[in-house]
Amino acid sequence: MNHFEQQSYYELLEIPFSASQAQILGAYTQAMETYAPDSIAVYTLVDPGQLDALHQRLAQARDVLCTLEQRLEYDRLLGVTRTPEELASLRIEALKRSADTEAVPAEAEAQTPSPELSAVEAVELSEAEVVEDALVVEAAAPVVEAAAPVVEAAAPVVEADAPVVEEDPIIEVTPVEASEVVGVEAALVVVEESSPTNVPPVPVESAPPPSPEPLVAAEPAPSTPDASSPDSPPGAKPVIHARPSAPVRRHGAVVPPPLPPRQALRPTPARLESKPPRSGVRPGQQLGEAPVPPPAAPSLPAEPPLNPASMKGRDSRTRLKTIVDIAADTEFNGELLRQVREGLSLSPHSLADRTRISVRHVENIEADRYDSLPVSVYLRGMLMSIARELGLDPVQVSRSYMTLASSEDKKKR
Amino acid sequence: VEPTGNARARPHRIIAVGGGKGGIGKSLVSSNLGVALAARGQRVLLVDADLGGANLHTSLGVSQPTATLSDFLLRPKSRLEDVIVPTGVPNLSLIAGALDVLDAANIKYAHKQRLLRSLQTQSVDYLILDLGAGSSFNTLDFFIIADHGVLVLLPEPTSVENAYRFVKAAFFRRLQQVESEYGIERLVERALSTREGSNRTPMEIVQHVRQQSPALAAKLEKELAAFRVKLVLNQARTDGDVKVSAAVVSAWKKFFGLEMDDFGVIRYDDEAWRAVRKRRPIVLEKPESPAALGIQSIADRLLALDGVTSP
Repeated sequence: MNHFEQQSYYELLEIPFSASQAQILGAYTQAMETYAPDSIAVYTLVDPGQLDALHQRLAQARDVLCTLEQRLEYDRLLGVTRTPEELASLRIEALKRSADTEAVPAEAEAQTPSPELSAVEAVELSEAEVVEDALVVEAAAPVVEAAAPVVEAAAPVVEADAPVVEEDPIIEVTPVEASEVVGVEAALVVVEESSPTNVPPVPVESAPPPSPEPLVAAEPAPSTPDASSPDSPPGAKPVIHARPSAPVRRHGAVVPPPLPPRQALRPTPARLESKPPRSGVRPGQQLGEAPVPPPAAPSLPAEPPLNPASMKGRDSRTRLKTIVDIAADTEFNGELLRQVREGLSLSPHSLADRTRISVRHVENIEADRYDSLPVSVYLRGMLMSIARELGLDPVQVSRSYMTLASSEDKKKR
Repeated sequence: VEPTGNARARPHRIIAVGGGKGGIGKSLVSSNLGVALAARGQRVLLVDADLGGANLHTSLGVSQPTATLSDFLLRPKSRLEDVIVPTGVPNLSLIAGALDVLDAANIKYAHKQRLLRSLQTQSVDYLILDLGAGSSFNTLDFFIIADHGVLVLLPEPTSVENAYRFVKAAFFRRLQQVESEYGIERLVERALSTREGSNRTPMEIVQHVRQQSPALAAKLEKELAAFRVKLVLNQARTDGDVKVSAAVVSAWKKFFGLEMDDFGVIRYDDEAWRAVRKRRPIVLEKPESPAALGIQSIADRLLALDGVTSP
């Protein structure tokens, strides 16, 4: 278990609550240096999987803290209070940054990142790719039910200048009104903290579904209630569902719906995210919010940009992006992994191919044949690759599986 | 280990200098830190606890001491005070390591206990234990009685590897002393004896205890937080090297979950080995050299931490 998973974003980056944007980016760069794969400081202390997990979280931390609205929301969860002066200077900083971004011709293609923002934007760019990727792949995915809206949704994304819009909520709010790209904006608006007022009506009407999915989080991560409501109409699949139906619903709504595709696209960060606030704030809040989606809206923005950023390192070429509603504390055993794989219509062979793990291991893992599995350091790596391939949270999968495996082990001895 | 006797009959503070790997400057740090503290008016007793490779006396220019630790270990009647020799430096005395007995490193349990007890009753301001290389229990047990466990590190993979190994081993050895209270014997035993177990972090152990008793877990957590090693980076050649100590402190926290203090850097310095050749502590031989200055500031930091104001 990695202790850093319990650190707040501020602790993680080793910066004070008052850190400026420049400090945050500086700390991030510094941390990436400290935790480079060949860094001497982690020699023999960690395995590559742990380092990957740290990198993902560092990126999350940077993304959230560098987007003012998300940062303020995150602060609220942590219980950080700010003086008006502090707030003002943070806002000024954010405005400046927006201005900078705008200065780079807004119509410029995603390929021209502003120099000052290169770090963030570079990531955004790849995020954008991932998003497109995800949407497109998803459209192709077997589970898709409503083909038309999805295609429609996918197309605009490609056109829209996703990175800019996304990174720069304040400026980009405007396009939301442009009706033909509703689907896409919906995706991007989430980031937009500024629209909590819009949110309420929509999800309410799409009422908490009767929850046909056994696996849908009973105590979902903050995003989940929304994620599932537009997504899981009565006939939804049990374990997995791509959320193609979302755009459809969106068309009916005048206002951008609360739950953008992007939200649903990344179950992982939502889950990771739910851990850091050590105060019990988050869980309590979830409980309160679960039945009534609207208030959840403000907390949403904290999550959005996370997953794509963290995924960017992994090759996004062929990887399927799965949307799986799985509770944060779900324990993964082989059987569950098998179900997810089958839900994706992947054969054990193709999973083995994609992960470059031998079929034998894949089958042993799925059959929970702990005795036949390789030693833990290899097993962990395999589980993480499989999880990534299946669109699951690698850390959660490997940890829970390993715990299971080792407790079985103990029983035998 | 329980403090014994009244406050006067024990060292004000015990410093243990370890690091796992050999040749990383443990003796250099011990002897020079001793000199630096003595120069600040502290009564210091240096102990060569490198049972199988004693040479601290040489770092100090004390040629063939008249009495050594083995006189104490082999003659059960004698008192530890009887083997203390002067160093020529005011306020600084020395207990030299065992020189004459080749199996001194394999000290018996009872002997070790007696030595540990005797050390803890020395009435000086600072007792500095210069440890040997490796992570044997004999070494760890000296490390974990200390108020300040100093971990010497070179910015090299070999040293980093041994340092992590050493400090993890020390942590679990420390835990072994309190395990029965928490019902974690098996966890600790596995940590010390299996590869899987050694990857356990303090947090996992606390969680394990919490399942039985949250109150105990809170107590254990406090106890574990007290295990706070002080890192001294030696032979830093570049600015990049200097950053290694902060990076190690950060990584130790992020992955093992415990605090470590970045206690200072000693620059790589030719004067340092010249001083060793002359068998003189560098803080005396070249007080203005970068290495000597590094040690001086470590001494200052230590006194500040202990709330001691030097005269």
